[in-house]
Amino acid sequence: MSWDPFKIIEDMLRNMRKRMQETERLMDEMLQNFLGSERTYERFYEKAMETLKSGKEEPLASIYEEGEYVIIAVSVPGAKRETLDIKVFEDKVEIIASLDTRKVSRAWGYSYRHLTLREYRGLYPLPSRVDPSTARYEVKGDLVLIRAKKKY
Amino acid sequence: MKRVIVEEEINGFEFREFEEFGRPKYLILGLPDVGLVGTISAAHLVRTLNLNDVVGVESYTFLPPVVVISNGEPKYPMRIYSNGEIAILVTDVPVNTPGIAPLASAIVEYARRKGVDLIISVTGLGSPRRLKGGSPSVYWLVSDPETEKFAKEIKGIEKLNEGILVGPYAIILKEAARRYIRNLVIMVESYPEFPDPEAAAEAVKIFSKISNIEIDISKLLEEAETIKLRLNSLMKETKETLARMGKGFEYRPPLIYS
Repeated sequence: MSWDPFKIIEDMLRNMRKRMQETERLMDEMLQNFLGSERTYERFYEKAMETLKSGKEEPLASIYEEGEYVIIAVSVPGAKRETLDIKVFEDKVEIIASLDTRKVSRAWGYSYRHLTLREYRGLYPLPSRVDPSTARYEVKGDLVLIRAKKKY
Repeated sequence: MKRVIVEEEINGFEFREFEEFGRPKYLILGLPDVGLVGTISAAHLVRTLNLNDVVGVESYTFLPPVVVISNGEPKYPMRIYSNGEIAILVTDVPVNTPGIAPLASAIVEYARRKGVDLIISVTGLGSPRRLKGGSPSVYWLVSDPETEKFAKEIKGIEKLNEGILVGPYAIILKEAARRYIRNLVIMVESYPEFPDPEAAAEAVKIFSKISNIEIDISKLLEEAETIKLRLNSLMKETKETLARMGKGFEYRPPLIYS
């Protein structure tokens, strides 16, 4: 086989293109990961600002289906039980409760100086439509368990 | 802020030592995960055993630019507390997805270099059954036969026979096996989406049995409501990062069954 400088250059260019494509793919992957993290931090910030400005905190909730029922568990530590206001609609549940500021202050310590957290307020869409007239709830410590029959 | 005396860089994470780290027997990991079980139990151990932070873990690539202020002193958001015998890693910020693999592998390598005997990963096993009350079951997973023999001796804890583990503890387990370091994963049944101090108390009880150190959990249970209130935001952030790392896989059975 004879020495062909054009073929050598062509091979070099092909290798370079391949490497560039690989680098581009890696860069793209890194960028996506980075942007994902940035977006996550952005959401944390937005949520924190919302709480800071409104003085309202969305309680953590766990919603799942159990046979013909939808179960909504809402964690309301520090809430004044007597102020619990639960509304069950066909497609969502709303929960409002005043916070015991002494408890919040004890939990947050010094950081609470900059906050005015007064209320829990959460609106949760349900995975299935329910019949609100069947809704029952019980409070176990700082956990509110709501149970409503699905509507067929 | 404490002065750094020694610094080690592993996988983009810097382990900045403020004091002689020594050769602790146990390294307990309290990374935020399901029910914040590890985080809560690690924080309780740090308080109860009155440990000092001796290492700050930093990454300007994988961790947000944060200092945590405690009693007027700025601290690293991720740090290791130790008394020379027991070391505990805690973090005030959840680790983001791109940082999980490098961090998990860096922790194992750091533990290997420091001659840690056993890495104990503490995590929650999300179960709606917890919402119905009752005390949570505790399971274990190990990296090697020697630790398996050890885990079988612990009363009140059983082997997790089937399931999927997702997140930093999965990588730590694999890396520990690869680097010949013993790793015990303690998995406590917990609320899937709420901080669970009661589940954390179970993990502390197990560690008490392992180390033969009496650890009071009454304060942890008494202050459960305060802890939940304090950790509400961290739980929300953790939920989001867990979703991004594919935590959903844990709630389905594995392909091959026995």
